[in-house]
Amino acid sequence: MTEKPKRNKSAIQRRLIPSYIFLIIWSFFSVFPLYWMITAATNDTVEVARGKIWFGTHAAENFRNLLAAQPLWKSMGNSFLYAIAQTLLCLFICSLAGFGFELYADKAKDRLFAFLLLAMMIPGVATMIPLFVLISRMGLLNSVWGFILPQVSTPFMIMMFRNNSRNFPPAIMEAARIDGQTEVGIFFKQYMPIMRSTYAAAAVITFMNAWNAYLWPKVVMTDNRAQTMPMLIANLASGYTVDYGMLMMGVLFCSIPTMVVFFVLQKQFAEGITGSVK
Amino acid sequence: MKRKLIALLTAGVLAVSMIPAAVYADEAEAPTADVASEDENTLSVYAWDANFNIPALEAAEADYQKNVNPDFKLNIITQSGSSDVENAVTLAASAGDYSTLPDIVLFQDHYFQQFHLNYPDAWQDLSAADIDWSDFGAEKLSYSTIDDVHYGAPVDNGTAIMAYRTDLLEEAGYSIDDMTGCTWDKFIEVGKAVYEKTGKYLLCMDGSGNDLPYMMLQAEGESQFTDGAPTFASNEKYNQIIADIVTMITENVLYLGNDWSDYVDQAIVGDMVAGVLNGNWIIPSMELVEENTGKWAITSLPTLEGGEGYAANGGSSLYITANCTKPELAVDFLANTFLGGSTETYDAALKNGGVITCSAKAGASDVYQEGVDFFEGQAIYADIVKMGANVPVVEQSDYHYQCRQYVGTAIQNLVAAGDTSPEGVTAALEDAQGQLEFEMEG
Repeated sequence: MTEKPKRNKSAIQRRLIPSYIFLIIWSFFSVFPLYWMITAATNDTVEVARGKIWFGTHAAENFRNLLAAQPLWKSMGNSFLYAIAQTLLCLFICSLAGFGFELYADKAKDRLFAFLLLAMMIPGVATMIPLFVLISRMGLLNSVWGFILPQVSTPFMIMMFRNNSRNFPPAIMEAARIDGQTEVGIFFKQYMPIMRSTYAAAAVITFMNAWNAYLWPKVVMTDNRAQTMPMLIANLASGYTVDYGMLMMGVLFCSIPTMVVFFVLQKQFAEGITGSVK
Repeated sequence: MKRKLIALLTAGVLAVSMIPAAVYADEAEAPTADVASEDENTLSVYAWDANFNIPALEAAEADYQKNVNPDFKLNIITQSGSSDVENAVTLAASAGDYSTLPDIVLFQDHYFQQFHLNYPDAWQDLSAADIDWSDFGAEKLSYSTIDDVHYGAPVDNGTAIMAYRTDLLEEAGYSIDDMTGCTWDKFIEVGKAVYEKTGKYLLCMDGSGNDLPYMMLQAEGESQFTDGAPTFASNEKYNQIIADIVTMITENVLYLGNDWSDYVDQAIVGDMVAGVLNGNWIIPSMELVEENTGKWAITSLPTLEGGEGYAANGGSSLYITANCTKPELAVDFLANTFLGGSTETYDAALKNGGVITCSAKAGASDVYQEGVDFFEGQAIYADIVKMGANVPVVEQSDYHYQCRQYVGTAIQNLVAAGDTSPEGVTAALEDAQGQLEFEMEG
């Protein structure tokens, strides 16, 4: 009687071996570029070009060169400013829209929502020039508003909040109304705390998109002093001779914030994506 | 509650809009919406390459400040590459609003004529400047001159160099003198010997887009285009050049890299080659291999019939945009620095960025006569300026890069088929020319 479960256990383990092998190979391909990025940041350009994959001794030199070549701290500050401002505003506006679309009854809301989703079908490059003209005429080039306004409300985020709002218990709204809370109060005091997993997931997505954005900032940020980290990386990668060690040091600095944000909010991100409500 | 909320939201919005002011505590540091500078002593310029072009511009700024206008300031706006500048001009023209352009742009020579044709009102000419244009190589000026009107101020010199590892040549029983003015047939013979003795290729080329065929044809004094139309398939010399390139690849004389990174990082920095042929801007990449110091020397290009060949590849010039509201200042700045062949500008540009002038006057300075250790003490900069004066002017085309791409594909196909027969080469080039003509018509 005691033998059977053991056999079953070892049989299960054997069956899992191919999966583990596959996952190990997959992990290697996922993690290796990150490992290479870190080691390359410690090597000089000749060592990187010749394919050295171990840690070197040029980290401090690459860092000094990076500071001398590009306004690293200013670009970091700009990226943080734009990404945080966009994340805060986008979350507020899109969650308000998702809350309204899902939890209030109105005959036209589905038609309006379908119209909103149509906007998702229009490729960004098609609206690039009109948007540029608009932002330029508003005098918002090289400003935080020029960066965030076009992205402050996205159909995808509104859809995400609307879908996840389906799990928001309507009874809470009823109870809050009976308690005398206003609709605005319900949004701030009931909806926001309960939907925090969704907020976390949306924050990760929006922050990463804003941090990594390249094309739009490249168009509206025409002044070096307004440049973002991805623009700084692109500047490092240009020219007849590329210093790969310095470039990878820049890439490392550019990657750290998004990694930190993701790891801190990893649990809530997974919950939020699946639409769970607490 | 509502009042509190409205107050909270207003405060939030105000806080966000205050952040830029907090980040840029010093007002002069704050980015402005207008790219062209409003200050009467400031000019803005788009440029790329922090190790090459930008030190040259900084040198010119310092020169103009010191010798002409102490209040002058050049606001250099770094771009990630030449394509960024091209995109900025395209975007501004498409939006019908040139106010987003800086006063001056650094622009790739090969592209200027196409952009002048597409957006003629985006540029201001240099007619107002009192310049001795004969000081510059005619080939360089041919890119930026349209209907005898000058638009560009040359920055760097794209003169091609043929560099050899003299130690490896010696190992194979040859010297740099044997290579100067040799034929391509002789070059192939030497290349085979070098590969056999040392395992290194005598030449390398970027398979995804290299100007080797263009430079080899320019050294013959001919162009891939005649009166705007591609005519390379029927050009006998070009057919011979392509056949020679294919032979070199199949005989291990030429390493064909997959792309630019393979060409620079593997072939040159990876120390796989005993020879390099390209615009002189390739020198800093060669110098990365410090252990080869004192083993290189440069000379002119081989030609089909023998005799020294000269060519140029790459390079850029400064152009004043339609948005510049201070053309007098812009012209004066250029006339006193790059266009004036100022030794102060060009000496510093050479020292800090490796930018070589195409002004004969600037090239005569003491700095240019100094020997360079990496090249066995050879005064390569003076040599390059001299070679630059001999580069033949050949017809340029707006479709230079497209032509390069189709010819590159033809070479790859010929290599894959191992075909160097005259019929095979002509057929491949006719195919490439047909595709280019189709694109040009479209």
